[in-house]
Amino acid sequence: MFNSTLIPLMVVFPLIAAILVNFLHQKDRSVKTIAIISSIVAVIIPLITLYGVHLFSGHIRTESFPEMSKLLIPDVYMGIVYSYGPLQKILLALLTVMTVFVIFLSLNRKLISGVYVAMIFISLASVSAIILADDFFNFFVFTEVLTVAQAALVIAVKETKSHKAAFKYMIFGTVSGGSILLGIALLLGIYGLLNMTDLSNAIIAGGALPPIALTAVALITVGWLYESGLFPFHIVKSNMYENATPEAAALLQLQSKFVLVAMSIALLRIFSGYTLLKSVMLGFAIFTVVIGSVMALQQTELRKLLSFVAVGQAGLVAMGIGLGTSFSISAGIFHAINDVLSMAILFFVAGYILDSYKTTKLDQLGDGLQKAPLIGLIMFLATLAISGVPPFNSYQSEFRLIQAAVQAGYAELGILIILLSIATFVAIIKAFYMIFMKPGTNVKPDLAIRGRMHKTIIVILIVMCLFIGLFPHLVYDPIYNVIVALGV
Amino acid sequence: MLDKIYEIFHERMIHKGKGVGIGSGFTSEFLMISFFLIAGILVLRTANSVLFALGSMVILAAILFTVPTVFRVEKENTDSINLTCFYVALSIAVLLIVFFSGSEVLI
Amino acid sequence: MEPFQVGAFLTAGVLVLTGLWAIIMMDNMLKKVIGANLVGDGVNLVLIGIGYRPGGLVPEVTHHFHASAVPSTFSHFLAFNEFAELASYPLPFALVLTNIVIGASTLSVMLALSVVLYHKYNTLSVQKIFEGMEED
Repeated sequence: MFNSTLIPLMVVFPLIAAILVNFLHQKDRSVKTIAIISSIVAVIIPLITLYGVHLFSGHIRTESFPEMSKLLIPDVYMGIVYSYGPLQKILLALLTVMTVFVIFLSLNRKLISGVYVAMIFISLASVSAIILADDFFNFFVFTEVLTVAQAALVIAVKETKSHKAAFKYMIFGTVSGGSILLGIALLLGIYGLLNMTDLSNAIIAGGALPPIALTAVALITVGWLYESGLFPFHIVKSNMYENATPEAAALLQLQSKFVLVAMSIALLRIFSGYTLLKSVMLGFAIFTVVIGSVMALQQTELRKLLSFVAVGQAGLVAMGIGLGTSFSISAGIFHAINDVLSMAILFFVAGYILDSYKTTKLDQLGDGLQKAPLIGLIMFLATLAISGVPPFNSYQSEFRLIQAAVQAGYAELGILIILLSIATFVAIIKAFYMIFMKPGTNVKPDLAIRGRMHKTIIVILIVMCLFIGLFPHLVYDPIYNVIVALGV
Repeated sequence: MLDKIYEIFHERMIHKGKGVGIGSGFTSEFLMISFFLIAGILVLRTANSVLFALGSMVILAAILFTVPTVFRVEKENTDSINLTCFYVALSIAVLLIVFFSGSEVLI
Repeated sequence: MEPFQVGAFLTAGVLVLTGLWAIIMMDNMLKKVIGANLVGDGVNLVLIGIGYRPGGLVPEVTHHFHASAVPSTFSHFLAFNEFAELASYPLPFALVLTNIVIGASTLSVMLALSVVLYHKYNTLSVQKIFEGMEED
């Protein structure tokens, strides 16, 4: 009974917090207090919630009366279901912790707009619901809410570039949202079900997918490409990351990767017998990986460079999922978790650079080690982390991805993953050199900016990266067990 | 030939980061070449081994003659909304065709 | 499939294709926004078409069917053959209502952005706004 309240609270509580801070907009002290308390409570809820299933309005699993209802399975869920297990716990714990960091940094930056903080909470609630939902339409609703919240976070920068980025994001978001809903509508028309577990069983019971169901798969895959930021939507997503504040960009890339993971698992569960889907996912992932890395190497502005690195790494996560074996899918999800940590460090470093130097153009920066040696050291360590250098966390996940690629019979993809690691390292170490080691700088740093909050947070994150790198089984084993149990 | 490639990169990228950009440009070009080769190998290895070997050589020769490819990739990945619309339309069409044909060849 | 459903699906197809055409081909920002909205409208029509039943009743358990209708499980509806045979499928209507709300919120954000961009550039041409010189 108690746990039954806590599972939906992971979505409801941030929504309530969002409404409160929005209502208290312009009352800065109240907004700050409520934001800090709510974000800390939001971290605690997933940690104390027991694993289980929440059935909204108490609608239990019930007999479907197939002879009358024409449903293909004997038992169905009659209401919306949220399920909470070890995988959801890991994802939500990381999501809420990162949201706390972003809120602290935003408040530190004097962005005490109630509306802005409300959008952060709404995006938290949306991603939580996407991770928890077992109902496809509920899933879709929160993807749309997330699109609006993320666009709002970018619009809040109040520059023309950010308005243009948000406009493009909304236009393509509407197309992809319509695409997902059309796919859901077609599946509803064929199978009469919205629950993902039930749909999965019905599709298996129904045999080969009819043409309308194939159309639904294609349409939902378009939506998956958009939500994950894969080709051809990689430009739109990277534009969003580039034009948001660096802290918001850290949150956006984390949310995109977790939505990628949640939606991929949903797709693979529902269409579990359909191997062509995995091949298509793999194809788009490979494209994204290469284009993201190539574009990152060409950039001369730090945030744009990091945006493309984030996109490339999302492609790598999708590659793991697209390979289709339990080992590769769990390696992909593990990589998503590791990558969001190191990308967040890099974006927070970019935030500090922006605060101090008022620019992130690599040509104009330099001599950074004299002003901020600790930040430089952490950026260097984060570069090693994201490139898959031991003893950091991404080494564990990328090694598993390469093993999974070889085991799946795609040794060439293992080579591609290694090349991607090298390319990522070159791109970011170039930025590190230009910011911290290159002699001479065209802009004087603002010496009043001490960046204590930035330094504390990135030290915590790099310690987390190191900890997961040294003890990967604490995170990897639960993920692997869940994926094997799901049978995707 | 390497000198010629270096000159092309030098000319196009010298303004990007005082020459540091040339190294990253080379890396990205190498990554593109590897990607084309790997993509070619992945597709061709389902055919017989002669076709596989010949096809890979042809792809490698074609790539080396069209170096540099990264600048074309960069042009195709600008922030242009029209370009993104084009690729979105293309992707939707490709997805519908691939799923409708239900081909199992890709596995 | 009923003729109404066929008509609904065909109309929905026209709406979705028109919307996609507007998004991809139109240069005017507002026309792109309208196109995005048309896509959503087309999808709503598909959902409504799925829930259609000729001569169907509104799917609410009214006094006509049960003197003290307080549904706690669904098995007692089996006793209401008349209701089960005549009621139209209620689920798509709930989905459509939610989607209309979502569409309204996304439309409002897109229109607000269009207004802001128009004030900045004094044009609605996507070519001039998005393809012009990038400000650094």
